[in-house]
Amino acid sequence: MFRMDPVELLAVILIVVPILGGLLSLLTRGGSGLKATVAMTTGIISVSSLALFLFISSGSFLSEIEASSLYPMGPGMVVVDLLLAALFVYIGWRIRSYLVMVIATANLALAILLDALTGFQEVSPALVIDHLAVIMVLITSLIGSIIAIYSLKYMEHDPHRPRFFAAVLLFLGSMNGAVLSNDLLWLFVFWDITTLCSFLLIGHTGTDEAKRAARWALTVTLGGGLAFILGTVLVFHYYDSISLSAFPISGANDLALLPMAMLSVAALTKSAQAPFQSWLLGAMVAPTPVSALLHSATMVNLGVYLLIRMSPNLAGSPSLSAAIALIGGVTFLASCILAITQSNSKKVLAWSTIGNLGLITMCVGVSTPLAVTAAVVLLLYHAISKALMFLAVGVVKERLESEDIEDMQGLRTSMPFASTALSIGIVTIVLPPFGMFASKWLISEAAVTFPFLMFLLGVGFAGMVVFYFKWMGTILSVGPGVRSTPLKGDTLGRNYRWTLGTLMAGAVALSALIGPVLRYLVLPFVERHFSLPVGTDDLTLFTSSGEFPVFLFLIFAAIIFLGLGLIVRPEEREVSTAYACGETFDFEYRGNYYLGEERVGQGIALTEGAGTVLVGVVLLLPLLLEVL
Amino acid sequence: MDPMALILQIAVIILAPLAVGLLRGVDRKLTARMQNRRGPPIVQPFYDMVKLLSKSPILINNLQVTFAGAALLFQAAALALFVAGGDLLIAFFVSGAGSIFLVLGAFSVRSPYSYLGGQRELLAILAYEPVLFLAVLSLGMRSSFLVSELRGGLLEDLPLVLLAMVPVMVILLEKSPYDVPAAHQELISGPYIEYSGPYLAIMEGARWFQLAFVLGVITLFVWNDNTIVSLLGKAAIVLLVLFVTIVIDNITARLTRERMVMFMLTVGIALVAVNLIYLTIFPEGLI
Repeated sequence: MFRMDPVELLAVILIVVPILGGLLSLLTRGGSGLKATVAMTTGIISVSSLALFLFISSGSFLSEIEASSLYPMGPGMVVVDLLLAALFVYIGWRIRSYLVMVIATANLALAILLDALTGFQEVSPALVIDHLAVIMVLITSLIGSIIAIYSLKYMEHDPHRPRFFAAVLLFLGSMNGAVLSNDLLWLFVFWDITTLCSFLLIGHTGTDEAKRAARWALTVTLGGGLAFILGTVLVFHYYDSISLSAFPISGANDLALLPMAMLSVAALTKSAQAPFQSWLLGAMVAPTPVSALLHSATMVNLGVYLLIRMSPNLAGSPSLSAAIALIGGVTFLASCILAITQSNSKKVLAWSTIGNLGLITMCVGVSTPLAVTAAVVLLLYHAISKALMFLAVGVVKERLESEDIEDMQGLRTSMPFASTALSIGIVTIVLPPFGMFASKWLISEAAVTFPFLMFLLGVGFAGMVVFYFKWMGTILSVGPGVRSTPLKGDTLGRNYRWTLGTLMAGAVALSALIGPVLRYLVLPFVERHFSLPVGTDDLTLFTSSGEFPVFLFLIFAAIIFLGLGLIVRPEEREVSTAYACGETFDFEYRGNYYLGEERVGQGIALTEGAGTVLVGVVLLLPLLLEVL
Repeated sequence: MDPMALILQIAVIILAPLAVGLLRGVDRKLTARMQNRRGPPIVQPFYDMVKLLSKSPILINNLQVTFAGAALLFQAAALALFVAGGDLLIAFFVSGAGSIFLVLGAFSVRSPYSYLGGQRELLAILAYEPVLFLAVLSLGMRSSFLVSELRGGLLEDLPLVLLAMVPVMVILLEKSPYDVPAAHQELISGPYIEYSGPYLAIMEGARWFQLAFVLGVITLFVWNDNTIVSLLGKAAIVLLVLFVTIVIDNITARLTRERMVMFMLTVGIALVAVNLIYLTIFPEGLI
């Protein structure tokens, strides 16, 4: 029984080690023992995730693991499922939220019903390791590890460190578990553990605001969990098995769509799509590493992961996928406009995350091969850039004790390292030829098949330029006579330098490696379900109607930013001061948010209204299709 | 690749911005004539350029130069990609990056006028980019985004998209009523204010390349199997759009930045939308 093949062993390590590490850190007292535990755990999962990638890309196309070879995980899951549901009822009682109690009780009832229906029958295979799962595992394990290491420094003085790291590591383990699961019951258990962890982490500081935010996040995502378990019961009813791989591929256009519609709604709550976006915005009261974790390595990714996983199944039912595409598109447009009106950096980033996940959702809805490729690419590149942005904001906040963008004026001279990190983050999110640009290009091409979305995209992209570069402009704006600190003179601690440095190098390197990333990670997944949409010779990407000479442009960008800096060395007499028409007043470099609070409120209400209608459409469509 | 074609392409990449320089001279002459002035000679932009280049370089910080260089090179790359028959969508995004570097250059100096100019330039981008993006997508949606494969019948199919390009040109040429970022009366050239001498020349060069690219997009609307007819048609459409822009400039006064954004995001986008809807219902085209 213990003769596992290496892939099985790695999969088990990736799930079990972080969970054990989390439990172990609870036993420590927050000193060097905790540091060692976190370092060991993150080290092990980082190496394991890379090894898993190597195994999958070199040898087998995908690997399936039966529940029997993982005994006693199978029966264990059933027990954990029921315990977890009961725990949520208890939490609901503790935080005095009847809504949570009701949802949790319904959850428990449905979990029991599901067990009764399936009769504890095991799904074969329990775990499936394909390229999509490997991408998700890499994101969670590598970026999640960097965030955990960073938190060791950031949370240094927090009295409840062990509890914090226990939740973080448990989070990573359950994310890995969720993306590897093929058995929907297993997926549901891990899904609910991530809900629990996010609740604990958002409320970690224990302030009233944090408690409120945690409570709301729990309500929304637990509601999503209810949709998930309901969906699972329906999956069993309609498809006779609660296995993800047993979903019908083509054109169920009747009530049999209902399970997938239900699961899609669950995914939308997790990924904070309209009208469920408010929990993620509230979650910014949590310590910055928690935001980084929620926005890039874990939580919100799980929702869009499920959507991407179901994309081959959704592709067969155009009306349902159209509704999902619209939800994503509307969320993207609204978040790009609303982000312009915010001055709090974490809020800007939160809207930006919601928007980018909206793009992914939209791509899944468009469900052409090109769009699905774009979705996976975006998910990967968004994760690394967004982690970089959040961790940099955390460093800035620690120094300035503010996360307001207006307080970041002239950051270029006072904190060159963090400014570089923020700038690289912004550039890799927006500008060609870096990171997310490739997916932006693919999405634009994909949207041509669905012209309405072109309009949402056009305005959204331009809005994104406005809010990100307004921010970068603030960082760059330096008053006269201020000599800039050289990068070497930055007093940033070693931990921060290494974690931010790794992410910066990773973001830029991944941009250069977009060809291989597509070839070894993204395309093998897309290819299994669709005809191949994108070709690559590692230096250029080709689609059926366009081409993107990535490498050419990267060399070009390198010449500009490294080369020009070296060539231009102004002599002292060539340097002048800024011109202000002879006026000497001190100018306030503030404002430019364009919409007042009232308008923002209306905008959010409008977005939520549209989102609610569309979610209603998603849920009613199967019924309508059945009747018609 | 055929060496003759390569030489031709390089020649076009060099000549196109020069042609834009000449067109700007024509623009100034025409505007002057409309206002009953004599106006400068049509090669005045080149005189200006030479004069700027011969001045001694003065700057406020290094970053300014980096962004000026980046703006120039990205715009040039967009034009090169376009002329080489590459992906129109990529060229559009690269040119967009070029205009973002203009904004960053403005922000990198702490000067009130430059700062306001930068903020307004961002709004100008918010106004014209969606329309330009939609125009590019509409051009490419029938078959391909590769410039070398775009052929024929676009003007007949997309007349309203061409019409939507007129306000885009108004913004890009900094003409009334949307000369918002550089607003001469109160912002004294806005994003350009802190550039002088050769660095200003670099920024002006970046603008020539950008205009060459966008005018190139406009030439795509016209195509004829006969090369000479095709070229004449392309020249005619560019001159027509420019002429309309100049007339608009001379009969309007500047509007606020909000009006600019609202106009482009409603009327500009609606023009494209109506055109595409019509095209879906009547695939044979409008005319």
